[in-house]
Amino acid sequence: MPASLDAFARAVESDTGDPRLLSGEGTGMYVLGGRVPFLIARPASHEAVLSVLARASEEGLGVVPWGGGTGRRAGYPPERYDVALSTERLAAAVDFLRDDLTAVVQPGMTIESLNRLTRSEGQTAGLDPANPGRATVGGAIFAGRSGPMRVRWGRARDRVMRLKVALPDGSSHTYGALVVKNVTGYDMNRLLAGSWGTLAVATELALRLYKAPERTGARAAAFPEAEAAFAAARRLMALPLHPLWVEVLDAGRLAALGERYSLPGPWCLAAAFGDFEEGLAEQLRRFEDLLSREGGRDLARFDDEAAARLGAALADQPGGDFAREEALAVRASGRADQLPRFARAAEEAARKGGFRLAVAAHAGSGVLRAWLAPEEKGVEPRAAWDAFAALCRAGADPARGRAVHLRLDSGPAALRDQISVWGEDGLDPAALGLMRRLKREYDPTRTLSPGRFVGRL
Amino acid sequence: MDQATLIAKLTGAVGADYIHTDPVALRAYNCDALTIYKGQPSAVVLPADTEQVQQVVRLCREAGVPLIPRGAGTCLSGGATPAPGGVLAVFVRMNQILEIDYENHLARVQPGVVNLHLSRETLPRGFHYAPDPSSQMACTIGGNAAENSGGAHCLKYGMTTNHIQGMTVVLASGDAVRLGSDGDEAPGLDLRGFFIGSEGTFAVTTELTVRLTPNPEGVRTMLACFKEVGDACRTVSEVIAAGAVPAAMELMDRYTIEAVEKVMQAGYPKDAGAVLLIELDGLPSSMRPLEALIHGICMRNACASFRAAQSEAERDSLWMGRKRAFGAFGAIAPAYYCLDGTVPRSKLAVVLEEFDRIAARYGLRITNVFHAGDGSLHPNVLFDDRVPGETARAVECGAEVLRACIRAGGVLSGEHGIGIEKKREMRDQFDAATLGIMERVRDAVDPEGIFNPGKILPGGDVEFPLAGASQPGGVARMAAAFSK
Amino acid sequence: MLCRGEACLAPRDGFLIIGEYTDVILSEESERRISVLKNLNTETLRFAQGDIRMERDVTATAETQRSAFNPLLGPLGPDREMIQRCIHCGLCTTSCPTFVLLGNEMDSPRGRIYLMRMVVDGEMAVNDTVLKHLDRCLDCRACETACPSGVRYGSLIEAAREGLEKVRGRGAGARLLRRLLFRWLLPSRALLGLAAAGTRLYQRTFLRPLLLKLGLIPPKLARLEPMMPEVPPLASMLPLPSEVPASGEERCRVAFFGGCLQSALFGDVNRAAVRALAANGARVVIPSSQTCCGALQAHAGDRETARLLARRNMEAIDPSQFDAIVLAVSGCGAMLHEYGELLAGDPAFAARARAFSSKVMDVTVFLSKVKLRRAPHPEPQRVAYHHPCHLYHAMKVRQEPLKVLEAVGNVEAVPLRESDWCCGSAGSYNLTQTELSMRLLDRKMGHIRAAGAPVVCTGNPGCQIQIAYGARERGMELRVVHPVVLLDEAYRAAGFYDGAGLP
Repeated sequence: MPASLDAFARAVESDTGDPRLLSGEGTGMYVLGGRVPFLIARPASHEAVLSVLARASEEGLGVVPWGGGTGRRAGYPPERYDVALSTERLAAAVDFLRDDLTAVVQPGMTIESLNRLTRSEGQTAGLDPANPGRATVGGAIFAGRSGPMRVRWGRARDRVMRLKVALPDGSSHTYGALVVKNVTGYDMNRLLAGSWGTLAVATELALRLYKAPERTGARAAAFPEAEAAFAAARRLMALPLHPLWVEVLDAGRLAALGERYSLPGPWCLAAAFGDFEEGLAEQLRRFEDLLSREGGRDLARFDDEAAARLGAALADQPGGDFAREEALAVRASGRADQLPRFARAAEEAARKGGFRLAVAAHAGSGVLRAWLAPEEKGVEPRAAWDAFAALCRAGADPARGRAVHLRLDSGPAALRDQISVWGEDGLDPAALGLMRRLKREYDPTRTLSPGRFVGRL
Repeated sequence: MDQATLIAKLTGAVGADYIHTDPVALRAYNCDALTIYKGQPSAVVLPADTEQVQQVVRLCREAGVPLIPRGAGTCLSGGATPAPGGVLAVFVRMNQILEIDYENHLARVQPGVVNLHLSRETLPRGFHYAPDPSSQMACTIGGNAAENSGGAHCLKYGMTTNHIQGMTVVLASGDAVRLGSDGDEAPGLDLRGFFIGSEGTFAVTTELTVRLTPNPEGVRTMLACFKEVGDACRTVSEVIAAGAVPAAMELMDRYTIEAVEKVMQAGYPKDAGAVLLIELDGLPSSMRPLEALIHGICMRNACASFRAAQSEAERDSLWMGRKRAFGAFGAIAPAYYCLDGTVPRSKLAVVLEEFDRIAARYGLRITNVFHAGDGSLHPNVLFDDRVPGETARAVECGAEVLRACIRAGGVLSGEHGIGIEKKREMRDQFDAATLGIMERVRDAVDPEGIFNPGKILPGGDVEFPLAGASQPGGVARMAAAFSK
Repeated sequence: MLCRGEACLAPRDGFLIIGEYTDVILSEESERRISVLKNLNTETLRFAQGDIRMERDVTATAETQRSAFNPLLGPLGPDREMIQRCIHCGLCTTSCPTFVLLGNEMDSPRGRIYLMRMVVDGEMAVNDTVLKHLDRCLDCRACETACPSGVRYGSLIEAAREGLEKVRGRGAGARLLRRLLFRWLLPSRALLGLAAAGTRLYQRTFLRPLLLKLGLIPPKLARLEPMMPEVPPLASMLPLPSEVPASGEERCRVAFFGGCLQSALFGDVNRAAVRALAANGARVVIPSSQTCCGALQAHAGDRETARLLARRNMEAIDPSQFDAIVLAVSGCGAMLHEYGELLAGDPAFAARARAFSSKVMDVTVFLSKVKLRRAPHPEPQRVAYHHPCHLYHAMKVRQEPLKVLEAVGNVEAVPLRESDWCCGSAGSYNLTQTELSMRLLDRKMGHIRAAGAPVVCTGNPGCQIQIAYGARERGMELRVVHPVVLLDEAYRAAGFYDGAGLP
């Protein structure tokens, strides 16, 4: 370690008061795209975050904010990666304003802890990223990780009421307030939520909560074709019901879920509802009617705990081969009637590339995710991605305002270096230009996650 | 480029029939619904499509002349009041619903489409556009996006930002850019969310893709009457705390009831200290337990009477009183000043008590009629502008009210926007560093400051002359900053 | 410098003209400018606000000083308090047909009030632009329905128009024509009858083709000529009897107001109304000294004549003698409804005018209040209903005409889009603002065509003429008829009139 880095490490050690500062050997688990940081900073206060950032900015070092590490296989490898700024010691609940349905927490709190906290008062933050035991609140908000429940509670960024952030230039900002309706100044919360740690580091987040439904229940039925399942999902979204989630799953995803959930296939439409008992019964009945009208078969019922477990399982990623380093997770979004096309594209890509496939779509939100696991070693993933992208994009029609957006959620580092991971090749260059200018205002020294996000921001 | 050349080129861009330069015509455009600040534009253009808007933007940038977008001019904070000498682009001709996609529950509209007109079109097919600002019969969806407008039913359905999927905007460079997405996710930073609510200072919107919401199957509208406004506030807080979120929950206090019943018979009891207008919607089976829960909370808080509207006519009448309340203040005072602070919902009772103390200190009356479920307040300072010195006192009283909101953990504006009206108070809300970054990002998006200068952020060199004594509305909405 | 002359704001470019009657004192600065302008040999002088004051009453308040030359100031001008009531919220804009067509703020109610306000307050002079935008107003009062603050826009625009007449550069011929029309022709049953007879002669004989072919009709008139409704046979113009007894038990006593043009062109509607009233137990008195209501005059800025006619009508009909003053012509109804306001400043008539106005009732309102007798129409009818503006927006009569139609069996009501929108007739608007009027008519006819009903019901002769013209022009088979006529036809077929000796 060069002397200046050593000095930096010692300064960070004193700033953060970290009793077990990790550097050198111990940093292996923080690897990103083959790069390993020389230092893991674990500040425990806003001030400590500020000073780490300011020092790094001064030294020209690259800092990547680090929550639960669940986004390790996403994005481009950072251009410079010297420090991982872990929020592990910023994981406390600052305030729980039960009567205002508001939780103020530090970014390193895991989703599971947040859920435990809110559940104690019968409330929910409605955040359901994969791997809730490791994923953090800061990560979910800043990586914009919305799961199936977005159809009920909105996107992750819709949760944010107030943010306290630290910038590389040493300044601190507080955006928003503990109110649910606010148009005071620019909506900076929305700019930062989903910015993948490229603009600033949050040290405190105030989240809007909702009352958790009194009772929940889910129903699922089998469809022979993807088209029929997706069409039924669209019919469901036209009813005045309030589903908690609406998912369409293929046989691969069903198999990955395992016997425990026994969802019917080959294509399965599953949806959950939450309400008081009487309302829930009616919502479920109406959904069952719809399923039978639309030709759904083998109805499966899940009530309360079972429905919650199923929801959690669907929010998670398929494990096994699909979680291995060589596997891909791809995503396409567009109008809901494009989802069958996206599903076909995924099948075609898997067939072409020699992959096993699992597909799950947030059918109420126009998002399809597909996981591709290589059938054998040494399969080249590029062709599969290209096929997927081309087939999905054929559904776009910019003149009629129809866009299709793609993303590689995770995949081998080599592939990530070759393609537009964030789908920015489908983005207007002027929009990308704007993002670059905004990055410059927040982080002129490109200290934060340089090159990792869209357009290698 | 000199003025005459600019006018000539603008005329070439939009056509001679769609540009106004007559000084009399221009005066009609010198303010929006906030009338105490005026700015005389140098020209008003009525572009017909995105290409024309791009040309207008390029011309204004070349000439170094501000460009101000305007929808229906119903903004209450001066968002559409032009910087003096600027070019005002009015979107009244871009009022087409381009496409209604019932399959995906989306509509693609031009910015000048009137909010209510979209719902009117889609209601028979089972959908509506959910954000419902009180001005929805006139205000435009483009303007709603600029202000991130709210409305009574935003309690359940969310603000404008929750209902706009994508938009096409023309940047200062003249580039037309598509933001957001038809599905759920667009690459990169959420520019869509960032641009919504930027009050026309970032770009000009020329097309929007909005979400359509299935119509609820049933609606229950209830009126709960209380002797004391504090009890009504506590009821609201407890309803929210119980997580029993209605579609809308509006509070009207004693003075408001008096005013409303003076001009129309809405059916509010004249001896009540406050009424809550509560609306539920959805499946009847979902509403029943919610209604029972809310009824119970009302009764625990000394509710004097509780009734549900039994007919469509009765429901309309209850809502009419709420919707016309502001107009009705004319019946009990020569002038009023409407404010727009928002506070956490647990603080409603204490904040309203604080307003009473402030009013007493200033020897004025403050009435309250507001979206209680959101904590979105509309305190109105009643005063008589014919009494010397009373206007200034009302304005100072208003500033005090806003400061009380901030002290309670609230904000300056919940739905009207900052505009010209509250930009000086932004210093009470945010520290210098936070204001600084807002200014920097604004400059990054619009480097030459072409779009709607002089709004939102304090400072800057654009001045809006204060109107003389004769601004419309004895029912004047005074800027709190009037006397500073 | 002392000028002799009435200072008034002229309709040209905001300049000020020194006229003939009054003494005016100018500030020194203005004197200097005047001398400059005089050297330039121009007659028009520009002043800044406050440059002028009246010599006659130098101690008067600023307001009266300004009223000396401000056409909109004074006791009869637009009510400043009412203007003040407009909070500039803009909710009215989308309800205004001219705003929707033109898209200009100055062509919206809010913009027009703003213009008026600036003129009243002396911030702006009246010029062609002001006149243009105020003239384009239909006075349909849809904005009053939309207004949350209760601004009575109709009274503002009518007062403004009265004031603006003072500064309008009308030629002597035009002034004479207005006076002829408003003061003499409309209020005179004899002259109007004569004019109608002449018109019928023109329409029914060789005169029309001949004159048109020879080009003897002036181009402007020739353009308007096709709009002219077909004048009915003279028999229908005959005056109604002075009294018609109730058929069956007499339950009330009403005065019937015929209306001037209505009596000349739609006498059959009046007859039908009187019959229907009588058939429903009303003794109908038709005072013979009643005259023109004054609505056209008031809309066109001649409220003086309107007041004159109002007094005559009040002398003709003593409200205390009747349960209601009923009429089958909504334009007049709205005017009669507002006599109280029109004569509020007249001590001799104010109280009576209020009493009078409170008893005015559209025939459909009256009929929907009584236990209306039902009868089926002999032929099945598919009917679309068009709301006359003054019935819908001014008198707020909305459901009653539909209730009357409901009482007629065999009638299918067909929904009509924008049925509460002005058809473009709007008094004499189709003559003065022909282009805009025709655009509105086009929109209306499009909706009527889409509705697909062969019958349009509406309660105002102006609307009837306009829509019938629209149908003629477009080659549409369309019957345009007052709702009470359908009721009357049903009654007749049901035998309600048999042996009653009704008119």
